[in-house]
Amino acid sequence: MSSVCFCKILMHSLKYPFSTVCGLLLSDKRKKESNCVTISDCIPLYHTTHGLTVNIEIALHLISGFCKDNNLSLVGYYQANKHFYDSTPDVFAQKIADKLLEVNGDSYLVMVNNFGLPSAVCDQNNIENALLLYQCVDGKWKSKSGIVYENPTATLSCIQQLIYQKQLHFNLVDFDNHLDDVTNDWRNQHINELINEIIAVK
Amino acid sequence: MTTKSSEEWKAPLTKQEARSLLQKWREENTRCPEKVRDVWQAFDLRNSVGDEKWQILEQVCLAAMDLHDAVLIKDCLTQLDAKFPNSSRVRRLKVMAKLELRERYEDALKVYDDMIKKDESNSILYKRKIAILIAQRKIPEAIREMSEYLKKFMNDSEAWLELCDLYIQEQEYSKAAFCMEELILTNPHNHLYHQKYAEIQYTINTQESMELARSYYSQAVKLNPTNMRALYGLFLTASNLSQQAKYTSQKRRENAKIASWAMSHITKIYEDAEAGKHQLSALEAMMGSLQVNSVN
Amino acid sequence: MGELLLDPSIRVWVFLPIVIITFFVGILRHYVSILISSTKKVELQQVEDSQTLIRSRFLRENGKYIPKQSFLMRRHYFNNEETGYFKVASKRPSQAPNPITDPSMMTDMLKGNITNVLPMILIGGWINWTFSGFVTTKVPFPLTLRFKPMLQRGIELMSLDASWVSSASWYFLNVFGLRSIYTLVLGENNAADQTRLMQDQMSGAAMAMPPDPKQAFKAEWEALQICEHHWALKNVENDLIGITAGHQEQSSVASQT
Repeated sequence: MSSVCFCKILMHSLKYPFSTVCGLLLSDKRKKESNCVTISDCIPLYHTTHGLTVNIEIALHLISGFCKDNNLSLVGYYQANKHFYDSTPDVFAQKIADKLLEVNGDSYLVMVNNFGLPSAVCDQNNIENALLLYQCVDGKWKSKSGIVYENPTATLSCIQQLIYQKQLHFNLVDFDNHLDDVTNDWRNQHINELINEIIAVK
Repeated sequence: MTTKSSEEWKAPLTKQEARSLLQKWREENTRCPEKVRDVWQAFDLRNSVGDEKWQILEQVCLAAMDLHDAVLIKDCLTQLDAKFPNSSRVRRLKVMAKLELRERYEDALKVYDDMIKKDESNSILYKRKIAILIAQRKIPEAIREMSEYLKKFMNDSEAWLELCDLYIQEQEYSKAAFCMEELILTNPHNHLYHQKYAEIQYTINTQESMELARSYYSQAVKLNPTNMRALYGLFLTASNLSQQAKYTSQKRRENAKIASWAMSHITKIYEDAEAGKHQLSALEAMMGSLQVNSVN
Repeated sequence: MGELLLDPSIRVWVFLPIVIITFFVGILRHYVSILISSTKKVELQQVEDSQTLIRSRFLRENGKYIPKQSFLMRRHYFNNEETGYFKVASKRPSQAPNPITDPSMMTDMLKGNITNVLPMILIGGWINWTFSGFVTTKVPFPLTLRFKPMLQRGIELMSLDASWVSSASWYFLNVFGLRSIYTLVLGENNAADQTRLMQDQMSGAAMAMPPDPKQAFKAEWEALQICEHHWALKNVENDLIGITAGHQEQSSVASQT
């Protein structure tokens, strides 16, 4: 998983800590390898309407168009529950991931581990506590390990800088913000650039 | 794109503006604890705001609880306690800080029950109890408690909205729809209620509910022509209905017309906002994929 | 009539004292009312009744915005013969509050009187008695004769110009005119209300209930019974498209349906 994607997932869940947030994981088609998937980017979707299908459909339609144009593929779905102790995927997350599986033949469900997040952000040895990976095995979503983070040291210091010092996560735009005002760009290019800059310096 | 960090947005504020900002957040129930705390600490509002001070203190105290800022909570509570030693409102804050925040939910429930016995008509206390149930993830209990509460306080629209969300979580969409109907009754001119009702109907996904969704999306668009969610929703429902096999061809054509009308409006809004090329191309792709379906 | 000149001592000993006295009495009254006001406990039943009435009124007025099925369901809840809310409620034993048997109501009334009416009468009477018969000031514009009883209370002089103000009238002008000064001094929304709100949360919709809820329920029941449901959203799609597509389109759609 790339630093950009990891940063953005955390930013999104920290921007709306009191609601369930979700988003889509993208991977670059050109960098496809045989046995592992590189999740290069993510698109934050919603924080208000959890459990209703319409908005997800809208977003999926628009984003799949975007992906086609940019040679990306939708490989998964991430969600951060609003309840602190609850980091298991709920029915809705599973359904959406099922749908992605149906369309793509390959799909990952990533949950933000609310409980493990604090320790993960502080210490790079614990970074695998931050996210939980689920994969579909025989029609059921099973917990798996094996998220490999790109450049953990730089990523974590980037998070420290962007979120804790500058509080830039309030500037992250998700699909909800986009629908409130269409000039908000859900690709978050400025944030991507910022993250890449910081990583490059490190 | 505005890329401001916390210091930058605070700097140009005057004291008066800071105060009205807090007031605005209070009235709109905006939950932005970091900003509340920042404003409170950046401006010494203590001596300049007269009796509004107590409300601001309460607001800051709640924000501090959100952030688990024990020092600030204590500071607010001692001030409030000194001013209103017998107030149930301050007592509620204390219970929230001392019991709920430390997850001693059972104790908190007991205290609230006591307080309710003393003051039966205090709606805040009931709501705290329900909030605790939600925090314990006892959703069915929370729903039951909430229905009881709503039997007594039938016009609490916030509560109806919360109940609606609870039902959605439990996937009881028709019951959620009932709650939304209730909200529409209290304020039929709020386009967001119509939009949400339509979203629920769309999720139920039967032919009748689809038609209902179309109607309510239309109403939402009528009330607010720039409601993007409603426009997209209208487009999706109408194009969905235009493929409905049971329909006569004329009815299908009508729906297709509505869909294309909605699409043209969406496109126009994007063009007006000058929202980048990629948005429009994504839009075209979406339209294309749905149109292809309708040809089949 | 020649120009009338007022003795400067009238300004010092009548005009200003009246302003100062009324002002301080206002402040005093404000604090006394905070001191003795008690927060009224609202009874749960009362809240429930009033909220039900409001909800039923909403249903009547805005019922056209929800589908027919939902409307009928709600009406059934309020109005059905056996278990409808209004039917049950109007069979409840009536409990018309009696001011004699309910002491809290008496004290509330008394407190209202003490803080509002009593000072008015006392101070007014006293001012009238001490400062009667003075002409205190003159409004800087001419007025018609009709203003004489208003501005020159206590002075019955036919020949006096109507723009002169007597001491008693000056007092009344002050009583009513100082309100905005109070908001300035005591803080906006007249602090008393704010502080009381903080002291104890009101339950929001503790509406004034009619003395006998039975009557209100019966009236509401009847009104709801005759209320018919016309769904307001029946043609909304066509309306919507019609707005932009022009008249012709609309009429053609209408003829199709």
